[in-house]
Amino acid sequence: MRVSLLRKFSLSTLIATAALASLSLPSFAGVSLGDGQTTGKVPVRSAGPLAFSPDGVLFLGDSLSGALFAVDSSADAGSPGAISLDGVDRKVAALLGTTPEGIRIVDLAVHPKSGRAYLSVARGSGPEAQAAVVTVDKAGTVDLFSLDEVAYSKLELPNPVSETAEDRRGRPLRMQAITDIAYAGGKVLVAGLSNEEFSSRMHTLDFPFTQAKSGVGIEVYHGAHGKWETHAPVRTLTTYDIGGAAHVLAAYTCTPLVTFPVTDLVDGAEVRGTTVAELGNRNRPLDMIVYSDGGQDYALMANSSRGVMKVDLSSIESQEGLTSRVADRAGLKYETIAELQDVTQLDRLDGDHSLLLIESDTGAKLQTVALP
Amino acid sequence: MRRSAARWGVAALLCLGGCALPSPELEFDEAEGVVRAELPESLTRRLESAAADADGRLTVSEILHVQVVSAGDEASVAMHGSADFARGELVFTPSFPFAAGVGYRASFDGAAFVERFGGLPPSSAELDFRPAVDRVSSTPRVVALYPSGDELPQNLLRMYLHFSEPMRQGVAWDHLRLEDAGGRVLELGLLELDHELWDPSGTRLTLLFDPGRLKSGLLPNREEGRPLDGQSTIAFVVDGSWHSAEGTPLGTEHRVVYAVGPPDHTQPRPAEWSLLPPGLDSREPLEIELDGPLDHGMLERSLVVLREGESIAVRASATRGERAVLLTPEEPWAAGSYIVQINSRLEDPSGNSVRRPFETRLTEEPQSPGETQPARLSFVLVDEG
Repeated sequence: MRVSLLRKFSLSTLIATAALASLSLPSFAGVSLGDGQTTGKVPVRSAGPLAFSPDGVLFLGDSLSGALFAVDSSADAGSPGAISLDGVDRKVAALLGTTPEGIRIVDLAVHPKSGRAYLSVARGSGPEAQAAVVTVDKAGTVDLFSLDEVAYSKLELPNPVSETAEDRRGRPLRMQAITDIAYAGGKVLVAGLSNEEFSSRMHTLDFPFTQAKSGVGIEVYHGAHGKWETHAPVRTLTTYDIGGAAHVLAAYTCTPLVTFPVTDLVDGAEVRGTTVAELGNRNRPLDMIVYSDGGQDYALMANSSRGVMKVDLSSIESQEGLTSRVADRAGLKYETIAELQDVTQLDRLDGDHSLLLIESDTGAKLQTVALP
Repeated sequence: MRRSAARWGVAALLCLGGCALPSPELEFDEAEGVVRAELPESLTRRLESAAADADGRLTVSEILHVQVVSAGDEASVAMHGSADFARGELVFTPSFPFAAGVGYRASFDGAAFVERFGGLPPSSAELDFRPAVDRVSSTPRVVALYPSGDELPQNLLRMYLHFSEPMRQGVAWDHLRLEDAGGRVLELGLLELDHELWDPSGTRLTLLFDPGRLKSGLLPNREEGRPLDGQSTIAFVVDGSWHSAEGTPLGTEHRVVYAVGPPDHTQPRPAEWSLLPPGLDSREPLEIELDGPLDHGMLERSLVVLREGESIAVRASATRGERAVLLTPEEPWAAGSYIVQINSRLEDPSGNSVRRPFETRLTEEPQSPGETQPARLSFVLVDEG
């Protein structure tokens, strides 16, 4: 998910890619997943965020294991098209043999080749909940993406708990929740939020994974108006080209939208994001994609209480870090798409459309909309 | 379908004399978590002859399937699993286990059988079942809420809610509320993460107050202030309708009343902690009096005790509203010089750590220049005998 502009594609290229894939032999060798690649049952313990590489590697975050899995889904092909499915929660629950109360849809990502929606699902309501990946195609068919016999590799995230492991007794309570992952140009970015200390760790992992290099941990700080600086856990992120250089576009738990160059992400660095927009109060960012329309770039962001925002990125390069007080909004201009309510997850379906997961009191549905 | 209908026709013709195929009997094997179909011998033979071509094993998912049934209606999507015929037995094994309390309907589809294997059509069969909740689950309760002192700082960042049982996840925000001194419900002010911060056992939930409202200068902070601003006391309430993962509700409301004190912007200062050394050769805890309440979760894992440079095994437990910590050794305290090392990431409940405050005013000098040095305390136990 969190499609980078580094891989702009249109519906026609999607179809062409899918056609190529379907012409391939069934033994389609797939993709290289790096060191430790094996075929078998993916030992994933908890359902977390999803992301795809353009060639169909599915990245699956697993907070309980403190690990990231890369799973080969490159053989998935088909012709993409609009996906709309009412009652997706009921159908996913039925497939997994339970009621809608017995599942939680954690994340949504669109397969770059087949256009199928991949849902990361927790099946169960407590810590023993099992992880499942469920697909939905344009015909509304719900199916299980089997994690039983697939090519995968696993990379454990550097775990700061070990720094104090010596004096620990009994059950470990600390956990590093993986809040989002994004793929760009051979790197996987992982944002985390600890259930204890507030300092934020981000990891960048080279892909294909190399065990010798387990990724780097970066501490992210947030400067508010040039006067204050605080720890800042990243809630959702994507990558975006600014002035020819790859940047992380991240939304913190406290809504400000920030950027920092990918090149800053070196081991042990303390990174300070440049705040390019404050998106208002009583709001939590949930998910974000970037896209292009008529030569203009935008970010589309789902929020807890301010609906879906369309943020104009055209002036992001010239946008100075916010330094002065403003009445409500600051920095990049945005508009709220009023008709999009209760959107909790989104991904780009093709060059012109976005796929939304809409969750309300009456249930959940998948809906395809034209990019605004 | 046409082919199937034709075969039904033939069957009807042959059976004019009154022959009837017995129907399969379905059974839910609760111990194994599978559905078994006991087939009449004629069907078993037909499957065996078909299976003989395929390693003696046959997957027949279209013939035996299971659907979730809710309010009498079958779900439109069949439960994922595999129906296999092997060694004379037809068994449906679900990909995810049958869930206690959920209604299911297993169906043997006679028409699908004929469609695939031909011959005389067997009757279809159905079985409704509901796995029992396999044990009497105990009633969950709230066992602790941290900070456990009487007073919260106005800029409180973090609380921990401990339960006796793993709780249902993903519904926390529906079951928590804050009330002011007059019993009015306040806006919760918590960061309502969709990814709730549970510990791996599912019994401890970490709650963060919205950092956007705690951080100076951010819009939410300027417009709405900190969540506890202007309150003299608050009550933190966990309602009784929250269910455990096993499905049993708490039953009773849990309410903790706190006074609200001034905001805390100061870092923990280990230099101001006082140490009460234990008796030689005893296993009494080493008691450390802190300079203020610290984070419960981190306090119990952030201290390392070294004797003559070697770390020794101790169990840390916070006490007195997290204003003190007890370090109990596994082995009796031996004579020697001891050092207590403090992880500089250790925070107070407002997010100020030993290494840096929650927020730094960039125009000011660092609050305490020496804080990046590893913090340590020392004491010596002397054998006077």
